[in-house]
Amino acid sequence: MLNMEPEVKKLTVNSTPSLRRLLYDIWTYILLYLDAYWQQLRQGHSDLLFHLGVESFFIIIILYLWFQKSYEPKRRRERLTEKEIDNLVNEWKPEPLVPKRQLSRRVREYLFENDTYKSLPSEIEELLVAEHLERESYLPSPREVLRLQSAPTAYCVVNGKKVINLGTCNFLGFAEDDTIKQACAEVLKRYGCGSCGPRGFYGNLDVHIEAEHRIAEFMKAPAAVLYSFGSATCSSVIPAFSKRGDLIICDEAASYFIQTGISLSRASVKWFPHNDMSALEKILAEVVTNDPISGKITQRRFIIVEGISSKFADMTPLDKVVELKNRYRFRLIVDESYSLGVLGKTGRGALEYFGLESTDADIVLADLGNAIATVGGFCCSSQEVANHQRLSSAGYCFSASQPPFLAKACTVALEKLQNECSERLSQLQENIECFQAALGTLDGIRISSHPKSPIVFLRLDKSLGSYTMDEQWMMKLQEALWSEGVFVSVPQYLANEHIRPSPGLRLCISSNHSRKVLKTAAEKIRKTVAKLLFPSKHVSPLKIP
Amino acid sequence: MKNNSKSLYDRIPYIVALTTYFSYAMVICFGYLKDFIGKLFRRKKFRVPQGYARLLSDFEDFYTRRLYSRIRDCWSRPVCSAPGAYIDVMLRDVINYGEDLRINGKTKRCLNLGSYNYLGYADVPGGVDDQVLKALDFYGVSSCGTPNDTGYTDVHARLESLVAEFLNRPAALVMGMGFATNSQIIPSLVGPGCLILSDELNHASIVVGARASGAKIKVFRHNNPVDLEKQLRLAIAEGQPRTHRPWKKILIIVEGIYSMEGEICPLTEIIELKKKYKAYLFLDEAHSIGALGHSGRGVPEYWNIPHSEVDILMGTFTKSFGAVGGYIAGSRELIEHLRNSAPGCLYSSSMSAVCAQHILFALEQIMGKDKTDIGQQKIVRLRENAIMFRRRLIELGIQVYGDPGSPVIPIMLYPPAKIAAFSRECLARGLAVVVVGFPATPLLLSRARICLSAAHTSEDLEFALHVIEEVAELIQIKYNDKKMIEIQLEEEEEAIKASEERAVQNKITHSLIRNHETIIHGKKLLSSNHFGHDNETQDFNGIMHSGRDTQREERKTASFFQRKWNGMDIQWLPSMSSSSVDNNSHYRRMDSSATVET
Repeated sequence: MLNMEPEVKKLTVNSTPSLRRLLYDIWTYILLYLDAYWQQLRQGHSDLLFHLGVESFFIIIILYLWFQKSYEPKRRRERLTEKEIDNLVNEWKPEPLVPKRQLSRRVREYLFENDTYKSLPSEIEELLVAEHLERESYLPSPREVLRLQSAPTAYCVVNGKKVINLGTCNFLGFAEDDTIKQACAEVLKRYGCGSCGPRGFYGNLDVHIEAEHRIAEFMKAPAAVLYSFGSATCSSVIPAFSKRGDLIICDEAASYFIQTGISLSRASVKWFPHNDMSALEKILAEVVTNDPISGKITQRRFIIVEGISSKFADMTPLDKVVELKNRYRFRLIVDESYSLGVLGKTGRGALEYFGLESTDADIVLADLGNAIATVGGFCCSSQEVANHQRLSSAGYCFSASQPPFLAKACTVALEKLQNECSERLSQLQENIECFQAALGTLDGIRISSHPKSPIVFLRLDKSLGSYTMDEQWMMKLQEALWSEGVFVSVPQYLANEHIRPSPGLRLCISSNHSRKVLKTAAEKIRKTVAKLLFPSKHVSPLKIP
Repeated sequence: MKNNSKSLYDRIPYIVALTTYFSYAMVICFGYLKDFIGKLFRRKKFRVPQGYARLLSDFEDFYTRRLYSRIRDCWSRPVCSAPGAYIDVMLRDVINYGEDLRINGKTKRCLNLGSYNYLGYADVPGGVDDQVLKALDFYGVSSCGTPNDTGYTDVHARLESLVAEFLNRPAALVMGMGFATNSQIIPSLVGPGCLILSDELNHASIVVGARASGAKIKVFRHNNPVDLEKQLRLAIAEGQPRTHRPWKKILIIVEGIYSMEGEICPLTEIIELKKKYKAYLFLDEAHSIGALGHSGRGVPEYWNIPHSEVDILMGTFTKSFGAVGGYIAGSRELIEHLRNSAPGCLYSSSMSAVCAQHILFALEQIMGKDKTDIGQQKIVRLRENAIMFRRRLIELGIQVYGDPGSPVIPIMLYPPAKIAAFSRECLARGLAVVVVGFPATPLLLSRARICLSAAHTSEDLEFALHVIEEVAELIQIKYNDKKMIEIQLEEEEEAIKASEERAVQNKITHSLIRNHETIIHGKKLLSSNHFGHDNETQDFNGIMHSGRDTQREERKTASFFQRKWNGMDIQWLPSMSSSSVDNNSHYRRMDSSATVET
């Protein structure tokens, strides 16, 4: 019993209570008790055995209670009865399939002209719309107001009027090229119109294989994959390679389908301000700081940029992007939709313009609907990447292949571009230079374009108040220009775009335009814009039908 | 309603299921072994550049290298002819066990049971009209613009109005790619806070569109209205997840004919549910338009339901019409909304005018607008072919799925080795068939798919049946016993009888409607160019639109009439036709009163 004392003293001395301390104490007491019993048993006190039994019984009960689950009344999920669900179903009012209509074009126009637009409360607006809708059950959408009635040539027929065409992206004039048409007609006679199947199931015609070879050869890339629709290309390619957990660094002003591709891939995304290389570098450096020293990474990382921006017509400094990409070990996806056939010595696009090869980017995408003047898209990459797409890219696997005559159009157009690249490209560049010089600067208008870009955007310097009003103004301008004899396009942008640019006028310059035509067009645009922006300066304000 | 999805698994013989699993296990084991050895000795091939992650995630890559590449010669066979009744398949040499395939210059003429050439408009000659070549000459290859802006030509307008007329809906829009029609239109119909109820076997394009929309997606069992109702009730009762707010909208998405199963969707039940629970219905008729219904107007006609009951009718031109692209038909407000808000209309390139002209040509033939019955004959021919071929396959003891009348007929193969065997043996005997395995189907349910066409003659089909019988004997895929065959044949008979009865009914109502149309046309209430376009498709040069105001006037009356037309009940049709003159005045009165009221 003597050896108990120091232990007890210890307990009294150290009085800071803590859980560990407490457990230690309990353990010590148990040991002490056991020790005491053991010694007494050894000395022959057999009745203590009974005590031991009772005490261990209690201890077991305590432990049992201790470890038993605490009392919890069973949580019953209160199920709704069938009748309640029926009531809920009856109560539920879905939104209409078509959301509340915006002010129709004609109402807007009317209000706009009478200058009541700005101060209109929303309820009155609704009433007006409702009334107007009843009176005029169908209002033509802006798109139906201007209807193309010929090939998209330098001069085209729109709504029965011959006008200068600055509206279609037929940069090299391939849409109306006779050799291409002839080749297409032959293919149509031989293969019919459609291919009636995806590439995997007997929709893989020799024409497609030829086109893919031609594209790869033209782009100087190891392999190319042909898609049947330009806009489905990037929204299929991006999710084929990046999955949840991967990282995409993307330009803010990237086209809508790149945004769709990114959201479909479920990868995490970081946006950098449009063409801001220092911001890009900052983001890349930040990402890389947490990497393990061994260099083993499981996250796939991509940078996505456009050659010529589809929204602002300026150029991404690709040389800088490639340098950054190599330094920080990212993979690069470049969308050359607007720069293919326009930039570079042989028309390979923005990469060539910066003295780079197609292989410097890991994936090069392009819409064939612009300079190449067919319908479709392609993706250039290494053989491995191409093969993977053929099994896992949704737009390739699950869609019917491109109609053979459109594939042929692509092949012949690229051949032509290879053979006569110097003339066509220099002609186009001269035209761009001439037009941009003729257009000069406009009061109250912001012109966004690169000096070498075939598309030019005109945007209002100062917004008229809201997006809708700006768009309205642009459409008015479009219609006024049509009546003056110039056909231009006003691209619309969705509200859920990552960056929604303000509405603008898009002018497309083609190599088929003559200088004289471009000069007159520029002059007309200058005049009409001035008339519409500052009507007070002119004696007779423009009447729009 | 029979529950097909369940029976799909029910019918596999146990021993076949077991061997199928076993063979997959074998291939996977050997694949991993090969990979292991490869990593030991052929490191170069497996190396990843320093500092980069592997571009291809491991299992997908593994599947391609070790499973798919063994039998990759069964897919993507190059073809060097039009995809008509017969095609020229270019033969390839297999190099290094499927690592590469090289075209060896030989071709083989095969009977084509693989292309979606249902009505034979892909056949050359005969498929391509002179008008199409003229359109190429006049409009160029492409219009280089977007459908909403600068790429919209007269041909598109004509096509849109003809599609609307074909489907008896007020308006339609067309797009340049069928896949994109789904994937780029659905996002503008629903958004966050909405619910999409999608059939589990819906096509990838629908899945992509649904995912891009940001709406919550729930999947119901394939062709199972009972499960759909359960899901609908649950969804409405519980509301949105976490917030439990009520859903903004519920969109049910189904397909007309499921391309891998050949099953027709039970539209009648689904429409009942849709009405009861105030949901909207999106019907994808990619495979059924032109192929189903006695005049080719798709599933609604097959089930004898007016097209106006379906909110959004979608379909493609790739299959029956032998071109490319897709359409959406619906109410005027819907189409108007989509035109101004669907990414496919704002940013994508428009359909090539040449394709549009080809579709116009095919559609006019199907509708009998060319004053011949060529189109009608094609539809009848396709149906006869489909019913005959199915019956004969069942009689052979082959397991076949789907509904009678569908031009898609899957033949069940099960073990992966039989996929390759069936395809190769058929090709060797001059038959081009499509085979499908995992991941396009569930692991167990590999199959071959037969697509019939109106271009096939009965001799062609006899030949095909002969070959299939031979191959089936060779690779042992006659899984059905005699009892099973009898049951299936009986089911078949019943279904055909029911569908024929419906067709007769439908014809009666249709002839009434058509009578009516001619009466109205006679009175010139509904002018021929009521959609604001010229009806003369022949004239490319002379189309100049009349003044915009008169155009609008026409539109006004037309749309008003269309609205009435679509809302009307079939039941009061007979009474209308009996007193036609009164009706016209009735319309006139209503029209004028409508304008007076506002």
